Amino acid sequence: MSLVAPAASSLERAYLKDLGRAFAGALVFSIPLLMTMEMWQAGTAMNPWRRLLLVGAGLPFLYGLAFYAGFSDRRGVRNDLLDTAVALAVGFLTAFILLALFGVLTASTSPQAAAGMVALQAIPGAMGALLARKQLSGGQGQTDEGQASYRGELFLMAAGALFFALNVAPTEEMILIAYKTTAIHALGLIGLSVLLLHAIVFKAGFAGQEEADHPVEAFLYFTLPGYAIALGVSLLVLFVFGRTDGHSLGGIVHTMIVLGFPASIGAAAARLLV
Amino acid sequence: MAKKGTAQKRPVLQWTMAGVGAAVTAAAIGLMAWEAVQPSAPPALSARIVKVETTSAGHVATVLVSNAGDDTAAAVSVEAELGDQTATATLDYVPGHGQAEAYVMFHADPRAAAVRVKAWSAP
Repeated sequence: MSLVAPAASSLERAYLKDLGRAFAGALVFSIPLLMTMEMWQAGTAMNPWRRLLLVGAGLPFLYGLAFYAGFSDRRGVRNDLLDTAVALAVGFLTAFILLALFGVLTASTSPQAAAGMVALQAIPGAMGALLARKQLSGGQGQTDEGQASYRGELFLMAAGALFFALNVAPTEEMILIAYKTTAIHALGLIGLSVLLLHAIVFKAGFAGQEEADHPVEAFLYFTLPGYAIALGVSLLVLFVFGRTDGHSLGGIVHTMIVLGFPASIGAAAARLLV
Repeated sequence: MAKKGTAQKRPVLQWTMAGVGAAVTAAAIGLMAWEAVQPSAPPALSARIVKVETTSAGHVATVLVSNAGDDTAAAVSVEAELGDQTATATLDYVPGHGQAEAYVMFHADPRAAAVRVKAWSAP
């Protein structure tokens, strides 16, 4: 075989390496969730429409991550779609194998429960697979700078926020913290979230050169939108996990602010990961 | 020089996002500040049967527990009584100004059952 196509076999070997890295990324990113009890329960107890919403909202994020990061060298719409599909396969496989090894998935688990559990876990796993490469590919954003790259930055913030929110939202602690804290605590959390987001955005070179010289502009164009994105993503994730059910508007906003704290750290950290 | 002129001009998206970001953040701060100055009331829990379903295992009554207070109640125990039969259920949380559902099962139709909240703890 190697006689026929030595070039092809080295290509295969290189892809195998990429694939290995994708599995490593999926493991690093999804182990905390795979070992979270609430995620197993959500696989069966969650409203199927909400689960569909989460998976449906996750897919464009995965494609976006494939566009900005991806685990293979090759670029282009076709390769990005391919990367997304392979990342999903990696996510599903990782979730299935580990849940089976943890004794959560057994022969007596109903097919619906198993599918729900694995599908829910596959999304963060696939995100990890796509982030495994940890670098931006060159060759995009050089034209139409302002808008294209700004949109890209907002997307990355949303992806980071989604990932962090997804990691903590299933746990009961999120609502418990919201119940334990008063409005004063929530105000403090808003302040700290915005402050840290701004510090990371500003220091990690999120903003372009122009913003780097103007902290106020960076605050207006990156920090505040970033915080709004973190809050929006938090609200979506809370809704999906049924954490908004039976709550008043004030209660929902309170929980959203609590989850918005890790989400805004995630939004800021996205820049460091990709 | 011309380059500098275009660099000053910002895309509409950026303006919009800055506006949305400022509005959302201000709204969150405003709502929390408003809540902070309101006096907070302890949980005020009430329970009532909102639905009765007949299953092969018995009659299942859905008990809706509402909290009219500001504070959240945890480990809320609900008791339903019908004749000489008593059923109890525990709810993890009933959020302030929110509600949660519990289910109790009886042999007979529980439409006339008396339901009440017995006790709760602070979260």
